Amino acid sequence: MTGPLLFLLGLTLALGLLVARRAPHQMGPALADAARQGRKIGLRIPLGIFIATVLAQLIPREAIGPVIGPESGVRGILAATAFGAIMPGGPMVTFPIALMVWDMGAGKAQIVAFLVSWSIFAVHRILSFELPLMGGRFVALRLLSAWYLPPLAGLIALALIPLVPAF
Amino acid sequence: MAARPARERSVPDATTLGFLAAALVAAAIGLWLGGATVVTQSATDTALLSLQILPQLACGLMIGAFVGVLLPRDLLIRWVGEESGLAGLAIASIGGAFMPGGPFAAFPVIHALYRAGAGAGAVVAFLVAWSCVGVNRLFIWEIPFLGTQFGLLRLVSTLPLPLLAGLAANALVRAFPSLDTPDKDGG
Repeated sequence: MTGPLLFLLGLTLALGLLVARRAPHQMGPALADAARQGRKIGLRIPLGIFIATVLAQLIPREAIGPVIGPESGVRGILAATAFGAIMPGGPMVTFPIALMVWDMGAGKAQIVAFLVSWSIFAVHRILSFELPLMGGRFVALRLLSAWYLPPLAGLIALALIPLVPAF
Repeated sequence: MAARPARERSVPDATTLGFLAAALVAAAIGLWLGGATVVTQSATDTALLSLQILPQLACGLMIGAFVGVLLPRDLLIRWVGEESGLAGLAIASIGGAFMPGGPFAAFPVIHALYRAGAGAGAVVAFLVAWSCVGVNRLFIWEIPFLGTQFGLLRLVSTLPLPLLAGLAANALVRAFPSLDTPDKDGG
């Protein structure tokens, strides 16, 4: 947690110094813009996190593994896409779940679809960050552009596994 | 006429009220299905997480504002603007794939670039690359948890996705221009 934060603090300071040197008259407006954005999302983000956290506690996670085994093929990829889409929580929740699903006998291509689906549809990220900041129309545009990608990635993985011995 | 903006500032906007309503519904459902502990546990987790991300969110907002000042607008538009085509999508995809950090820092920066003139296709490609390809996630999560073989399979399988999403977004915006609203600010 501290590593990325130090990196971000350093980057903020460096960029702030650059602005102060190259365009000092723009420093005030830039900080006012950041503050305005912050005020706009300051209430929305905790509310979004709360919604995602409640959802995360209500969804059962144990029933997933057996449905998406290596022999489940395209049907398993579609099921994994559905599971990934409703899986709330950040990576510290999702990767332990992926490992658990993996240990319960899920197939590799199906896990690829699961992880991509979680990345595309990530309920927690849409509610907590994307919707508050980018707005509903952008979320609609991104989802319309990307909804078919999780099964596609699963199918690519399914095709790659017999082709590349290392996988 | 001139008095309106001052009044609007003190009242939460419609989007924030929507979030508030959804949070109340979520609390009611949590109470109904899981009991009071689900709600109190969620509220505690939310407070802790909000405090935890606050510094990163503040950095992200300032980085976004500074980048908006420092990055020449014509350069941004030439590289990843609406007319930048496949090359713009490729640049955005590579940038997104290597972008470190969580959503609290990433989204304010992406939003600033979108407002400054980055095309919708490039922004979508960047976000899909950041979330699906995510090279740094490979090292932090996938290789330790799921092994190198699986990590590489996942990486190779996701490589074409950002370009496809970016092309789809460009086509969608051409067909439905109202989907592309960088300055509406979501409010």
